[in-house]
Amino acid sequence: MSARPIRPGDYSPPPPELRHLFGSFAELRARIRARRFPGLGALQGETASVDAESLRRAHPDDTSVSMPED
Amino acid sequence: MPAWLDALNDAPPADSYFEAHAILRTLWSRFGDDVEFRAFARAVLRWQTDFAACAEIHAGTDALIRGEKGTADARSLLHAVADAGAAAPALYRGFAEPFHPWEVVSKYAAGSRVDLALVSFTSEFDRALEFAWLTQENDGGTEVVFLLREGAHAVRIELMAPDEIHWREREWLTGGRFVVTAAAHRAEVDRVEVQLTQEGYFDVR
Repeated sequence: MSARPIRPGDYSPPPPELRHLFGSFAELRARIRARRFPGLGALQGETASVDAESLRRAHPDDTSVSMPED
Repeated sequence: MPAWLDALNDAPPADSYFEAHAILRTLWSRFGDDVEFRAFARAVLRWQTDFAACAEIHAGTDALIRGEKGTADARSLLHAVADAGAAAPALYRGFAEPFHPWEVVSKYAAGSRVDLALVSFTSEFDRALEFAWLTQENDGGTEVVFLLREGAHAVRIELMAPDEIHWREREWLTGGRFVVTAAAHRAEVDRVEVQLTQEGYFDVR
């Protein structure tokens, strides 16, 4: 079966209480980290895992990517 | 399909982050001047590394799919999935649902549909199991693994990962309407496996 295009207006998203299960891996990671290390906090834990040098390596020529403060 | 999207999905397998990074550098040298590629790379970076930005992207995709304005990141990612062609390998996603296994199985009855505007999958089954286990350990409930049949519209974004930890997730980006073809509780490993086929992708052009 080949997927077909779905035009705007035809959309039934999951209920809000379950949407965190169906997004990005970044969201899953942040939730897992926040539950396991509640003192650390999800935001701090997530941003700490990607340092500025890593971002420069992944986007070597893209000067428009804004880097976090080192 | 844009050439950069074709190159991203058709890049050779990378056995290490070093190899993946080398491939990514060649993509930047070929397509670094392409406005669409740069917009996509920026959106993927936020999708992979910033969970708060993901909420903004979700709001943007929801708006676009409702026929409203949306956001540039949401538009870029939805266009890429739509343009990707039906060429993805089998993909997996692991998580846990706060229900008993029999409730999960009945929720994902064969023939039921789920709409997910943008969602991450992995091409490595073990990574999906890891996410399922970690989520279940935190929140309780039942481990669930989605098994998406090959041939979905999806973009291989693992090469754009900013570091080895993210690269190991072998992330693919997809979205659309998924039909459940089978769901069963595998008692020997105590998890529910849900087999999906992509029925449609969102065309917001």
